[in-house]
Amino acid sequence: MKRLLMLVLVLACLSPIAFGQANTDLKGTITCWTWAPALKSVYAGFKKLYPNINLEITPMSWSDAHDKVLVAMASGSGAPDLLTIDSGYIQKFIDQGGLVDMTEFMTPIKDKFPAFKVVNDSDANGHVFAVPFDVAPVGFFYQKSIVDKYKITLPETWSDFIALGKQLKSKGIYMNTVSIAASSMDQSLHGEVGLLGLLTQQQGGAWFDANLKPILNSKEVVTAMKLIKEMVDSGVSANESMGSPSYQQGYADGKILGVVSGAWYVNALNDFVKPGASQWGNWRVALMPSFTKGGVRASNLGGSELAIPAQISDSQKKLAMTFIKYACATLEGAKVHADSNELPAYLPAYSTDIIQNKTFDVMGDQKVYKMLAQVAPKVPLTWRIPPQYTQIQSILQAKMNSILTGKVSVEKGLQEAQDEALSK
Amino acid sequence: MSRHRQAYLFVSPFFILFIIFGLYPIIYSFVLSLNEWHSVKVWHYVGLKNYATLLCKDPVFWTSLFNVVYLFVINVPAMIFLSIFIALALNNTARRHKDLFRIVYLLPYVTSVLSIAIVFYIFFDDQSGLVNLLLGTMGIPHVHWLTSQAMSKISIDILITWKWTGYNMIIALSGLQSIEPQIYDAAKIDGAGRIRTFWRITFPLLRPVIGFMFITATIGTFNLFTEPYFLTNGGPGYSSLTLVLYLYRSAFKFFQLGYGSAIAFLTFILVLIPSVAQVRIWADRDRSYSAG
Repeated sequence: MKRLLMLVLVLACLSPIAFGQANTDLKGTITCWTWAPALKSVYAGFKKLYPNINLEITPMSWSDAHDKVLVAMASGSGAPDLLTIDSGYIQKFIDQGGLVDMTEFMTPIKDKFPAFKVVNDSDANGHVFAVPFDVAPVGFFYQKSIVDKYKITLPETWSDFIALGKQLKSKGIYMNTVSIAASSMDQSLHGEVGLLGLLTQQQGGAWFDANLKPILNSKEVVTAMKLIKEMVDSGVSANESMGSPSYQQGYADGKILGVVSGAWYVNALNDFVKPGASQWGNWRVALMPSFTKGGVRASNLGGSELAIPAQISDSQKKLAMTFIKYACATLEGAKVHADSNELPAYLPAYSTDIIQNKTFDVMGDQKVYKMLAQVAPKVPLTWRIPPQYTQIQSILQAKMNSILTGKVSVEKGLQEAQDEALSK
Repeated sequence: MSRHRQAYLFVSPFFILFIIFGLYPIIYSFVLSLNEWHSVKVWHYVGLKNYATLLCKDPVFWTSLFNVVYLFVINVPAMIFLSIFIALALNNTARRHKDLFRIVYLLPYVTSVLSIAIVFYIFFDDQSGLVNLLLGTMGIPHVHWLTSQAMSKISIDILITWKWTGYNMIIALSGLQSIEPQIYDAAKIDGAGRIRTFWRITFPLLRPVIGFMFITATIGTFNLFTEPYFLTNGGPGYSSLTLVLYLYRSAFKFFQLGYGSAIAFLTFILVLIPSVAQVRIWADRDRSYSAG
């Protein structure tokens, strides 16, 4: 019965696309709590094909969008029909048993998404509980005017990065920002803990071993933390909390060159920079530096998934599934999604104009996604995100402050973090 | 029972609502604190394990308790002293524009904590914050108000003092106004000076009010959440993590609802001890004075 229902559902979803006409049979309203502005744009495209399905979006902060859903799941009711979940938190929701199993839907189209995303959304038994929405391959976002003014060659390795930073320091320019307080994680820009994670992943390392036991004192984490500490100690990074007023001012004044972040940073730029400002059209993205010459220049930071809570009615599930199918697994959906400043996870779009020729006003004439799409397949697959991921982030965040201020050494601090993680 | 049926009927709404929204959740969360809640449906009874972990194996809990006590010691006496001082100044019948000042001092209390916290967050910014700019003009180097472990608690204390002094001032003021003016007149005739009058008359008669302020401030500090949540989110490190913030993190961020409930009950006991102690301290002395 379930199989049949899913078949009908998939056919129902495909028909309007195949015949290029609106489907008026499906009616109803689905609700969604989300931090992602992209959903609204995707809905505008969806509405043309399904004029009788309404999507009611309640905008929320990134952390509220996760916390409130967990509470609704625990209480057994009250969750919205459609969820956007950050890739880092999806396992917490799967662990709660609160999401609809989408294995049957995903199995035939698995190859159309980056492999690491499908693993990210699966439980230990290979069941898939969410559909990848956006991916966030990492690049070095920078301001072109500074590069032109000082005739900078962008760094190939992290030691080049530090060396260049030392040169620029004499001119009053920082390479990037690292808040010594490590306080910016909860502002959804992933902050210092995010930086530690993406640097660990870049080396093919992880915070958890294959049995999901924390390994916060592993070689790769130590190397990543040492690099961040060096950025701070050598003074090449501005001590600013991501998203704070002085952070934005630093970029606006041309005092900070760039930021190492995920593809969604285009969205943040659109938030921080207003059309007409001097930074508008001045941003570009380049490959991130590698740890060794010729080494991996790819990593991932964040990204999101669409999922459906198990507690809603079957008819609502069907409507939500129709939306997810459109948003995550059609070229039309990928197009409107890309237009709203996020890199869709749907691989068939990557060889088309949707990705290859996509430009953003804030980033001038650069074909941003063409570049980032090359990064995505090179992202090391070792990263593991178990349910206690949030807790480990919090432990690392607290410990980072002691490490960056020199209260403890990198090795000792990470060993303490490891001990704390194991005691929970 | 039947004789007082109507009376019971009239008082019943409170008790019905209290049982549903007060008593039931309390019992529920106590039961929860004896369990581990791993997934939506499965509870796993663990007895007192959550409490044992908290007390013996969790340094973060002790850090957050230390933070709360620190906030309390630095903040509460100073704030109450300040509010009595302002109340005394405003109680002077000769002072002009009294109502205006009362409103000005009470404004922080009626303003939403969230908006205050956002404004303070901007004021305390390392580089472009107003506080550091002002200090800079006086030649004092930048202070890392929110981004250093040494200052984060102080910054929160400043915010709390700013917000709650007005509220305590109103209470102190009402206490001052309930003191009969004849007592002061008599003291004046006896030749008592201002300071003597304060310590011999105002302070003893204000004692129950001061006690009330201390107890509510104790409870308030132990339950501190909104201010640190918005200002520092418990950081840097764990330097401004309060008990309730840790509870919130455990329960709603890490989704360990059993553990969170255990923190809630320990917090309850921890706030009960100083509160009861203070009721004793302030009440006993009060009795000796009211008898006279």
